[in-house]
This record gives sequence, C-alpha cells and structure tokens, in this order.
Amino acid sequence: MHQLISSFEGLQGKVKGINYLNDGVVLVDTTPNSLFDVVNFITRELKGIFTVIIGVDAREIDGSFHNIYVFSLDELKKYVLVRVMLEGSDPKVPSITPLIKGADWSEREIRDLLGIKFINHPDPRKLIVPESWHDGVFPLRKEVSYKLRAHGPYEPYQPRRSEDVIALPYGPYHPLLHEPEYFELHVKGETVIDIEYRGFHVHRGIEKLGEARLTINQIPFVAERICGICGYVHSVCYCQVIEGAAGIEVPERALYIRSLILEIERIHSHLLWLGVACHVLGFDTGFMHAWRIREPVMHLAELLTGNRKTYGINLVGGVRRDLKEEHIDKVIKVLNEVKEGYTKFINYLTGVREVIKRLEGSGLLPRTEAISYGVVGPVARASALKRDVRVDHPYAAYKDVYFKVPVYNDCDNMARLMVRVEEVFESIDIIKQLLDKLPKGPILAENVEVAEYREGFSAVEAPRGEDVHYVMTGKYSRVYRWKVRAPSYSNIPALKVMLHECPLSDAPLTIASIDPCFSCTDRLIVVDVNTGKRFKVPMRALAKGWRP
Amino acid sequence: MRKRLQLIKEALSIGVVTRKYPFIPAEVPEGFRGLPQFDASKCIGCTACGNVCTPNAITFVDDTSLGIRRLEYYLGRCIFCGRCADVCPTSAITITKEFELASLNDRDLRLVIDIKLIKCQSCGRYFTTFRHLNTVAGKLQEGVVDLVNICPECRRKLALDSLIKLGGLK
Amino acid sequence: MLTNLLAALCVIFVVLLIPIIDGFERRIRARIQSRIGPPLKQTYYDLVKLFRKELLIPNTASRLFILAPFISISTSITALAIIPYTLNNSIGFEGDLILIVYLMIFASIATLLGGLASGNPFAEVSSSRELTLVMASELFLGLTIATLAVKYGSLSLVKISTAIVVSPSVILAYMALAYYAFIKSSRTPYDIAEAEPEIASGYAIEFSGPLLAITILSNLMKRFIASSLFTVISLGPLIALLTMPIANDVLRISVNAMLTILLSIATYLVLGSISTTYGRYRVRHAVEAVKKCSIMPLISLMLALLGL
Repeated sequence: MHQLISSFEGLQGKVKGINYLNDGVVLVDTTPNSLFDVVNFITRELKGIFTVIIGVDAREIDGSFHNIYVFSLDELKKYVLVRVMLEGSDPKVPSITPLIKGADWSEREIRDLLGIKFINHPDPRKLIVPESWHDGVFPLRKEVSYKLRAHGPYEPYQPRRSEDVIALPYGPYHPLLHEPEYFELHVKGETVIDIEYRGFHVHRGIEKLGEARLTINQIPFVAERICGICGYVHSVCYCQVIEGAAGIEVPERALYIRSLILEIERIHSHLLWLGVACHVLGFDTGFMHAWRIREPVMHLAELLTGNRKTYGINLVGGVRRDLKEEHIDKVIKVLNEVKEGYTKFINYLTGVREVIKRLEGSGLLPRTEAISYGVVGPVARASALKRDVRVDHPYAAYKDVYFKVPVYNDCDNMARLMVRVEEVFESIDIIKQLLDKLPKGPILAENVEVAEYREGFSAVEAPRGEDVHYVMTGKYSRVYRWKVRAPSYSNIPALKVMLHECPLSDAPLTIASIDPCFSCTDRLIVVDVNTGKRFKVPMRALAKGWRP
Repeated sequence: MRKRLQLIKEALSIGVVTRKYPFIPAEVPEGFRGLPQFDASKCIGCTACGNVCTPNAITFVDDTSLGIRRLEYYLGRCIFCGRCADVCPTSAITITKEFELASLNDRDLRLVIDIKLIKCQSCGRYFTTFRHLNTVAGKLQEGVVDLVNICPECRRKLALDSLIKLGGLK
Repeated sequence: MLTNLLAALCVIFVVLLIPIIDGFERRIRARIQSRIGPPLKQTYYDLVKLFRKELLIPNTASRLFILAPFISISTSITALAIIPYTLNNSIGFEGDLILIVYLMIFASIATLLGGLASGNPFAEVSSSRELTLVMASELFLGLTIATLAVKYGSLSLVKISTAIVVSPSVILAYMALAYYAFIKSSRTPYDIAEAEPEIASGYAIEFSGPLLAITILSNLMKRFIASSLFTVISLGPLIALLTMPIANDVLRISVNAMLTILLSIATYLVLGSISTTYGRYRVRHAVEAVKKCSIMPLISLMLALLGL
C-alpha cells in the first residue's frame, strides 16, 4: 500500500494530495498543468492501463468541475484516480487523447454533457448528443432539468473520410436499419482501411435520471436495465460503490449469492453470443442449438431470482432473496446437464470446418494497440493481456474461489471465441465451488446509513469486460453524481484497428466478435475509396462475400 | 463429415424443445414475480409503497375536498420488482405469479384504493388516514396516545408551549 | 400419344408438388434444430400471400426486371419437361443432354439478370458474385456430361437413363452429379447470393409481390431439377431394370415415373438435411472448393476417354 504512495514521491510538486478512497482505490489530486506528467508516469512507470474519464459538476460543493482520470494497475491490484479541479466559469484542460487513444470518447462525452473544453482534442464532433442539439446546453450540469429536450433544426452527421470520397448523408433512422446506429466502412478494393462509427442514438440519460429523481435504494433497479443481457453486473457494481463509500459491511452469504448470480449471467451471455456468432457465419443450426443449451440456465435464473433477466434481488447492503436448500441441488443438476450439452456442442462446432476457417486470422488486434485503447474483457484476453477484474481487483466472493483466466496470444476472432468458450466451463466450476462453501447467516445489512458527499468507485467483470461505476453521494438519500462506463464503450473504438486491412467479408464477424451490446445484423455503409461510390449493405451480404 | 452426421443424430435424439405455450398453460416457478395484488381491507395508506416504487407506478394523491387519500396503481409503469410487497407494514400487497396481463382497455390496468383521511383536532387540517392513526395508536403507551389525534405541526407547538410552562419562561 | 400425356402429367404434378416438398425440407431442417418448424403447407401459404401483395417496381429498373422471373420459370418448366421421369423416349431427342445443360444455366442466370436489372446497387454486386459461382459449377456439370456422353455413346437423356453401363468413370460421374446437385441447390454452404426466400436479400431484394413468388418458385424448381438430374441419370438404369418385367407399357412407365419422382424427392430431402449442418462459405472459398472438386469429373472424363 504505502509502496504505491511512496512511488509517487518522484512527482513532488506536481501532485497536490494523495490518499485512499478505499482498499483498492487511490485518489491523486493534481493540477491541469501537471496532468501530462502524472499520466505519463502512471502509464509508463506504473504500467497503468487507461479506463475512463469521469466528469463531475461539483460547483455546488466547491465551485469547480472535477475531471477524474481512472487508470487500472493490474499487477498491483489497484485503481488510480487522478483528479483535476477546473474552474467553474470556464473549465479547460489539455486533452490526453494524443497520448492515449482510449481517452478519445471519454473526453468528447464530457465535452458534450458538461461543457468542459479539451485543448488539442483531434475530433471536435459531438459524440453523445445529436447533431441538432443546441450548443450551449450541457445536460449533466446541475441547472439543466432532466426533462429538458433542446433540439434545434436537423443537422446531418459529417463523417470523416479521405479527400477522394463524396459526402452523402445517410441518417440512422432509415427504414432498412435494424437498430439505430451507424457504421461506415472505407474500402479500397477488397480490404477495409478505416471505419466511421456514430452511435448513442438510444442514449437514455440514465445517469441524469439517477441524480434527479431516484433514491439510493431505487437505483439498483434502474441500473439493472442498462443492459439487456448483463444488467445484473451494473446493479452489483453500483451497490458495491455505495457500500464502499458508506462503509457498509455486506454479509458473507449475500456476497456469495451475488457471485453465484453473476456467474449464471456470464454463462447465459456467452451462450447467447455463441449463437449469434454462428448465425452471422450462416450456421443457423449452431445458433438454434446454442440457444437451446442456454434455455435451462434462464429457467435457473427464474427459479433463483424470480425473473429471467431483470433479477431485482440487489439492494444496497446485500440481497433481498435467499437461496433455498432445495434450489441448490437443482442448480447443480441443471449445470451438469448444461455442461454435457455444451461440451458436445463445442465438439460439433470444431468439426464445421468452414466456420473455423473464417474465424482464424481475421480481425487482428495487436497487444500494443489493445493497451492503448484500454480494451477489456475477452477482447483483451485474446490479445495476450491478462486482465480480469475478478483477479485484479477482487470483489464479492471471488477471493474464496480458484479459477483459471484463459489468455490467448493469437489476437484474432478465433482467440476471442476460445476465450469465451473456456470461460463458460470456468463459470460452471466457480458456481460449484461457491455452492460448496456457501456460509449461513443474514443476507442484508441492517441499518444502512449513507453519509453525504462521499465518493465511491468499483468495478465488476461483466461478460463483455470490465464494468466501472463511480458515485458521489448527495443529500437526502440521493446521489450527486453517478457515472457508468460499460465495457463495450472501451471495445468499440478498437474496431478501427481490428478492421484495418481486413477482408470485407470478415467485417461483420469481427464486429460481432467484440460482443457489442447491439444486434449484429446491422446495415453498414461501404465506401469504395477508389470510385467514391457508397453502397448500403446488410451485414449478412458482407458475410457472404459481397464486394463493391 | 462424421461429426456433421453425429450432429443430426444428436439433434433428432433430443427431439423438439419448443414448449406448446400458449396452447398449454405456462409454468412459472415458485417465487416468480408477477402482478402485485392489493388487499384494500388491509391497506392503511401509509404511502411506504409509493415511496419505494422506482418507476412511480404507485402514486398517492390527497384529495382534501373529499377527505380521502387515493392510491393509484398503474400497471403500465410497474417493473414487477416486488419492493412494494417488501415494505408494506400490513402485508396488504402480495406478489402473485400472473404475467398474462395484456388488455385492450387502459382502465383494466389501473387500480384505485381510497382511504379516509382524519382531521387534526387542533388546526383542522387533514394530516393522515384513520387506519394509519389507529395502527400507530395501538403501539403507543398510555399518556402519549392522546396526542395522536393532533397533527405534527400542532404537536410541536404544544410541546414548545409545555416546555415554556415547565421552564417558567414567559 | 398416351406416353406424351403421361410425361406432361409428370411435369404438372411436379410443379404443383414442389412447395410441399419444400415444406418437408423446412420441417426436417427445423427438427434437426430441435424446433417444431412451419406447417407442411407453409410454402403454399407464402406463395399465395405473395401473389396477393402489391407489386412495386423501382424507378431505376428496366423492363428486364419484370421479364426475368418469367424467363426463369419458363426455362425451369421446360427443363422439367425434358427430364425423362417416365424413362421413355417420348419428348426426348438426340442432343437433349446439351439442351438441359443450357436450360439450367439459363435458369440460374435469368434470375440474376433480374437482380442486375433492378438498379439496386447492392443487388448488382451480389449477382455478379453469384455468377462466378455459376460459371464454376456449370463447368463441373459440363465435364460430367461429357463423360457420360463418351461412355454411353449418345447425347440422349433417355438412352443414358435406361442403359446400364458399369465402369469406374461412370461411377465417378454419378458421384460428381450428386455433388453438383448439392452446389446447385443454393443452400448453405453455397447460398452466397440467395438466402432462404423469407430473408430475401441479394439479387432478390427488389422483387415484390407476384414477381417474388415466381422467383421463389423458380428457385425451388431449380433445386428439384438438380436432384432429379442426379436421380434419373444415376438410378434410372436400375429402375428401368426393375420394371422391365411389367408387360403393360402404360403401367410400366407410370411406375417408372412414380419411382423416379419419389427418389428425386428423397435425394432433395437428404441434400437438404446435410446442408443444415454447414455454415456459409466465403465466396472465394466456395469457388475454390468447387474448382478443387472439379478433379472428380475431370478424372472421370479422362478415364472414359481411356476406355475405362
């Protein structure tokens, strides 16, 4: 512990203060001028990997805006939060995007939502708010009501491409699109050289909602609905943050129950992804069978928690539903059947040679790029980065179980598939260990009291990667600032690298392999850089070998 | 090739896994969170459920002209979390296993419970419901019970007055 | 006269029967995927529904766009008429072997031309990709047909389907025909341009209403023709041998027709079941796979020329 603080002594004068937020999180205060030095020190000397930047409108507390830069030190098992205070009337800070590519989206988001200016940021376009949003209105500032909609006249999105291409607006709300987002692939002949992505069309303003009208114990239910597949992860992470900030001790049995449900979620999420990947490759039989194997897991979740997906069992301080004795036997029986069916399925999958051939060698993400973008989850583990929050920053009951973290060096789509395949086996094993050691006792902490203006920070390993929450508690049992960074947020920008020099028919598969939280049969725009023509192509057609 | 044929054989031995719902009734396990059922005879109008409801599916409105507190439950907003049943002090809300709740008529999705409000004996404002008052009164000791019919503001004034009298201040 | 009538009846029967065979295939595919699948008459319902829907023609389409499905279905029906289900020389003539190859190529190209004529840029490009595959597979067929012509000494389908010649080259040619039926059926792994009719994408994207119904029907017929070609040529001789004892001519050819059609249906369904276990090939790989398998008919042709 002290070792980490003492290592900062080299930056005397640049660091204003340094202390512990809780056991695994260190908060370092610094000034905007020294920001680069501190960031360089953390990324080079301490080998920290960039996670997210959090912006807080703290003008009601101390008249300033806070920018918190989060880095993960995997080997030392710590998070370092670097906080910079910016003046409330005209907040400005130099951008770290030239140093760290992963900071691109975080800074644009803070610029859109809080109005903080980032000097030298290479991309001045809006990220979160629509193009037609009024420029001076920053939604996350405290004076803006959560019911406000500030639209101006429609303005089209201006994608960036090289000079010899004609600009044509294709909106995301198009009758042909399955879901509202927008991909643009820049193509030379048969290989993709660049990609433009415009998302956030279904930005629901959950963070603002959490601050505006929800109490601390109502937020876990909203957090669960952030994601349609891995919602429980957000609920657990949020509860952990509040418990850390308020110093609440969660009973052990509750921790075990939480870990159990988290692993069940991981199993069903990976099986879902496996089915979707098979479907993108045209192997519909695989899709049907993967989901057939997944169905008993959903029944299990319904039996244990009362619902197939939105479990609703988390409260700050523990869980509200206990695990009955007769359920435990059922869990083990179902898991054994699932494991059997799953092993057979993987066996068949390896016999379908055309599927395997398409997965190997496509969508490469080299390790250095992976570090620069700060990718998480199976994407990182397939690029030789041993990152897993359950091991690096243990939470819930993961300290008490033994499991292997699969890491592959191939950096391609096949590696990502193998990582997920192995993780299902590991999850089944973890659940059995948890059930073996399940302690007796209460499941919810009594007399939960949360003090005002305390900060908390926590991370949880979702099926897609590291999910991070930050909370500053506020008055009257509410939160002052709640920040969520889902794992796909870090993984999607890395598509630029994965799709570089990638043959066009592998593009849909690559996009599906990072397991983003949207359906993968999306429409893409393919731009032929040589002729400047644009074509609307469904992903399925690309997967079948469409060429411009 | 052999593996492919094995796949066919395996699939045929597993058979069809499609459940015949809705042509057979759905099976949901015990503890499934479905529609909350309100027992109006037990409700005391304490608004604990309204406080805890995340999407504001349960809302309370005090109607002073009629002298009632109205609980409005709108199924359209309910997320079936079951928190209302957790916090209800009289167990007036139970969570059933019903989930087939679609209707063509919006009125089917709304439920209303009216509970009579009681006036403060001192200032005459409505401040709580009869039933809530009775429930609380049942748990208080002698001597304090008489103060129960007075609203919190008047009670504060009374307390201050008696403090002044005790302290001998004018 | 009666034989001609029977041959014509065969064609009508097959055309009416094809949707329900497709229904069976969809059921089998579903059972392999552990689900119930649509009712057997579903394809009929789909086609009838499509005929009642509005026909929308894009502004950029040319006249060929409307003609193409009709050209495709008429060539398919003609091809069906030429295949000797009755194993009897009624409509056939010397040289109809070449004719059938021509008709099959034309049927495939006609629908793709319709896609190209629609003006939708992305239908254009998927059509062009499918054409590459068509060229590769028709070369395959050409080599096989050449082998048979050499061994049987005739270019008449009926002669090839009734005479029994057992030799290595002919056996290889039969196997090649089976593989050709698999490629031609546009199911996974070779459904490069044409997905199943319910997810019309690729060249079929701009077809709607009656045109789409005709396109779907002609695609199904193309599949059946490919399976029939294999059955009639490979198993025809055996069937002819089996029914030779039947004295009554009309009875004999009716039994022939029933057996060939039944076996064609069986081949169709077997190929359909096999295709459910496949994922989709990339176009490059598909063309390479076909080219590699072209060794088989090539060897059989060489063996035939050597007299084996």
